[in-house]
Amino acid sequence: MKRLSGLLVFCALAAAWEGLSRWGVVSRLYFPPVSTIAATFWDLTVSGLLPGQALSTVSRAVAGLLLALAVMAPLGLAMGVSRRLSALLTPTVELLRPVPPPAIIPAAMLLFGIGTGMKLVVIVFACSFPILVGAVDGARSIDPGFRLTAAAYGLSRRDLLFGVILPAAGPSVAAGFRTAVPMALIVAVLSEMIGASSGIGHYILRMQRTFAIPEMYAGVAMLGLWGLALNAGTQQVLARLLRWHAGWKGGI
Amino acid sequence: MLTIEGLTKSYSQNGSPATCALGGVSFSVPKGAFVSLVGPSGCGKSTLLQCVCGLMRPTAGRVTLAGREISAPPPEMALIFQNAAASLFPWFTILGNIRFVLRRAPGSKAQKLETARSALAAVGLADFAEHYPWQLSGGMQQRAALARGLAYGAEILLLDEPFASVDAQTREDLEDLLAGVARQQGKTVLFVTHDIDEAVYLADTVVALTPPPAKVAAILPIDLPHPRDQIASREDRRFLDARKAIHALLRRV
Repeated sequence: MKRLSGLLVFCALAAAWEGLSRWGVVSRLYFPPVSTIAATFWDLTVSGLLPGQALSTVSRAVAGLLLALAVMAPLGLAMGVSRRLSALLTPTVELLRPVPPPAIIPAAMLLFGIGTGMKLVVIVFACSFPILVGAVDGARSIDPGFRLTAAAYGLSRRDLLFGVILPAAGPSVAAGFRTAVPMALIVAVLSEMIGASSGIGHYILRMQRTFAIPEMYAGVAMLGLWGLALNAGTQQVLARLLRWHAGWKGGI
Repeated sequence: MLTIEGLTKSYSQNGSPATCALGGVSFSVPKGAFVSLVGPSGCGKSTLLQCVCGLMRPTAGRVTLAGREISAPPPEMALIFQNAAASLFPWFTILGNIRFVLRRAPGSKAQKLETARSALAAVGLADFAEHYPWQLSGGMQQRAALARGLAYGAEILLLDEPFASVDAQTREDLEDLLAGVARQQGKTVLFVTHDIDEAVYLADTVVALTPPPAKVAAILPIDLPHPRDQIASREDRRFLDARKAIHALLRRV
């Protein structure tokens, strides 16, 4: 019922747009009727143009995310466990972290051109910090009781790492990863708008410049849907991996 | 025979004068005996236990097991913590928790699984193997922690106020469970508690500690027949005498 009323609000807003556009209250060129956009969206989707453009964007975002996870999660855990490593790297991290990722796009273009490499570098840069910080926090905040138990039962360092530190830090790493997902998409699209010959960011900008306004909106809608799917997919996978955590926190 | 000789532990916190938790504690735990260690709260009982199993290095003195000095947690000892919720890993099931501490133990996978299952059966949790710790009540979590200690195969169980945070009824059940299992499996037990009645009820010998820096105030043999009974044993003259003696001792010091 609540879901339904939420959907009704969305439909009402879409209908208002449609009406305002058709009655000429707003510029029909800049705000084409929703039905026109929907029809364009449908045509471009069936022809495979939009999904193709979106796929190249989303696959870059996902690749960047996974790359950042593969590098930063282990590094963050190591920093959380080792005081020395943390002291060594924390100043660098704290200096680089506040840099808004789009700010490095020009430099990345200079170094890597406008190909996939440049975009991956920027996406990895953007996703690295939330994941790194999550991993550091996770490894640092492990209940000392768990470590003591592992020590009392003579477990090896390897067992401590994979059986205690990794699962205990999991929820925190996951929180960082969840933050990184929308950032990956944002930076992927932005890097395509600045320097690219493909991808949905490039497409949206090109359509705007050629006054193909319904196409532009269709591109935005396609991105929105992908964002939704990406978030939902992440949520599903993490909920499965961390089922114990939801139960633990909910159970006490 | 587990021997604790002149165990001293003082903590110094950056610059401030050292606080002395243990001031030369000596006693021994014969093989197969059930020894309760009782003392006022904050008298360093947990510190003592951690020194005994080699988790903490004493400032002076030593702990020997059959003549061998303990410097790291030995496979002959299993430590069972006061707070089972912070000691059972919430990401493993109860069975998973037991199998995890058996990783370094000798034997095949099937043998270890069998060991784990029989330990769970011994504490009455056979049907809860696939449950997660947080799905169990406090008393059941403590049973699970006990099962993990039993499965570990250690001949010595060290328990650090294991029943301090469960309700009275559950506590009696757990006391009888521990006493039964320890006798049945021939375990040596060093049981730390601040509850004098519990100490006397369970033990063959009670070691009473003074307030910090803790020293041994008295070592009292408890001459009560086994198996003990929550009602009969606690009404027994010998129980009451021992209880009174320890009370007097701890009040005086």
